[in-house]
Amino acid sequence: MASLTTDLPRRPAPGRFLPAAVIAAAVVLLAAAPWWAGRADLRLLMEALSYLALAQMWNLLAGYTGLVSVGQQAFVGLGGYLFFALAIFSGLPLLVAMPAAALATGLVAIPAGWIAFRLQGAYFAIGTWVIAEVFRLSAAQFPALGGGSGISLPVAVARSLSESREGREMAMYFLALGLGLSATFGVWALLRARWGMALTAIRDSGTAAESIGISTRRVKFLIYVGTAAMTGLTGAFLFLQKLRITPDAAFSVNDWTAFVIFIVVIGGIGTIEGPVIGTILFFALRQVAADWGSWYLMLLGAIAIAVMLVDKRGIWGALKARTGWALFPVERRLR
Amino acid sequence: MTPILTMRGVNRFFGTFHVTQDIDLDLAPGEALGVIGPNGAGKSTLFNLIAGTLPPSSGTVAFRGRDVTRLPASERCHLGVGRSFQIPHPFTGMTVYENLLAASVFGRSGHDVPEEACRDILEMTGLLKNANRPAGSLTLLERKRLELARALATGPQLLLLDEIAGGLTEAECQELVATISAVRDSGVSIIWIEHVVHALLAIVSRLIVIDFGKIVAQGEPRAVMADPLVREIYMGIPADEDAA
Repeated sequence: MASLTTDLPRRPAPGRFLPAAVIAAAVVLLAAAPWWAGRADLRLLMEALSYLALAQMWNLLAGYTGLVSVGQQAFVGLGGYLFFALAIFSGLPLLVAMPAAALATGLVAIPAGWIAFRLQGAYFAIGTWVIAEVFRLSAAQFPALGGGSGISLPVAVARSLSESREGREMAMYFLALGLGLSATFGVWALLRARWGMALTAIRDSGTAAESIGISTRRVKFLIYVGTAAMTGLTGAFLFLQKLRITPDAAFSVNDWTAFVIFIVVIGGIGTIEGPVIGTILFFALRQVAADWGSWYLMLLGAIAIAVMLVDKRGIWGALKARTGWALFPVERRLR
Repeated sequence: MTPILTMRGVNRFFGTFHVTQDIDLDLAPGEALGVIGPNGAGKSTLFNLIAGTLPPSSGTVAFRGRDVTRLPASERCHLGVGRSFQIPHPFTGMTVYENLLAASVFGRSGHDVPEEACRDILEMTGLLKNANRPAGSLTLLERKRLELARALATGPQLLLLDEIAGGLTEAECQELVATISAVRDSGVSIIWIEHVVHALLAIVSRLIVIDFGKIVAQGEPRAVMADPLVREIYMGIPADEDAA
């Protein structure tokens, strides 16, 4: 497979400077956020960047390989719990415990996937949810991790990131920025690599992809395990930020899957830009309407239904079809 | 010489519906075989069984002397089975060129420089001017050409063509026949399902007729076409009326 990862020569098409400038400006703006944003805004950005990472992963899974999972909270929760366990009991430094938790989450995804892959379509979706519920119930069975009432991260562990509160907040923000950007640019790099063509092919026609020699089952499994690991890493970060974990919060289908699906579907499934647009829109809506209680959730539902009815490709999908815009171009051209 | 393709007692059921019945078929290396039969006779299912898109309910399929009955389509493609779909399945989000490039890269085509091989195939199939267009913007006829081009890009030893001549003008049809005969002359075995019989007869050296999932006639193409039974099945001309 080594030859598949080498990239093709690409001619920069006209009009690629604008997208590159937009991306560069956004990255610089985000990287400078600790110097222009207030504490509350920084917290909001941190959360948005974490959701961007979750959305990119769900989109890679559902939008490209067609595996619609409603159980990604299994890996958010698992990543969080494994991270807490490692940080509290093993004494590993935080920045080692987080990737270790992600790796372990990926390993757990192998047998979980082995079960879930026996199911197809809607059954797969239900299966992933059931697996997540099993994880949630299991998490409550460990008294050392607080059982059903959960556990807090000892202050000493959080302190190891930085002694001062400002230092901790700065470090946390850059962790979130790293997560959001590496998820987005990671997906982009994957789709630009030759191997990534398999993903677009599977997205467009699984049958034809198989007939040109793509082992669709293997690709789907690899993506399932890979996205689980990255989702686990995000979970570890989310609960580092919260400093407390409970089974219900860790394995919440609303927080870690329903909102993420909303983001991807509204923004545009099967595109890299979709999760970015969706995240911005979701957080903008939440800022405005989160105080409305149940009305807020109903508003989200109504918007999702409206998008489905008007154009199920989502905001970016519809824009792309009409204008041919690409913020993250992946196209290879014949010269 | 070992046949490139051998099917023995191949059956396929969809529920209780017996779509493919006891198919025995041998194809010699380099041979071009035509398949005709009414709509719904099971021709495309036969292709799905050869390409591995569907597993057979019973029977065996061997490719180049190796039993491939249990192999998925992707592995059969690696061994050298290339196919087109009757209803085109382009990768709509990729360009035409990328469709071929993916086929060349993942099909283990053995092309040293996939880019150049893809260019040649695009030229041969008349798609070169559309190379950098999104495949989703192609017309139906262009999509059928893309089916052929993409199958060729996998570097097949056996090429399965499913109704790619339908809807072409006479001039386009002749271009297509020229392209396919060039592929045949390069040593690739071909099985071609086609309703445009005169195009088929320009290429194939043997013809089989499938009706209700069974091979009901086979042999030299013109002799098969002259067979009263075939005329009845295929053109709806009753055998006795034909004799009169």
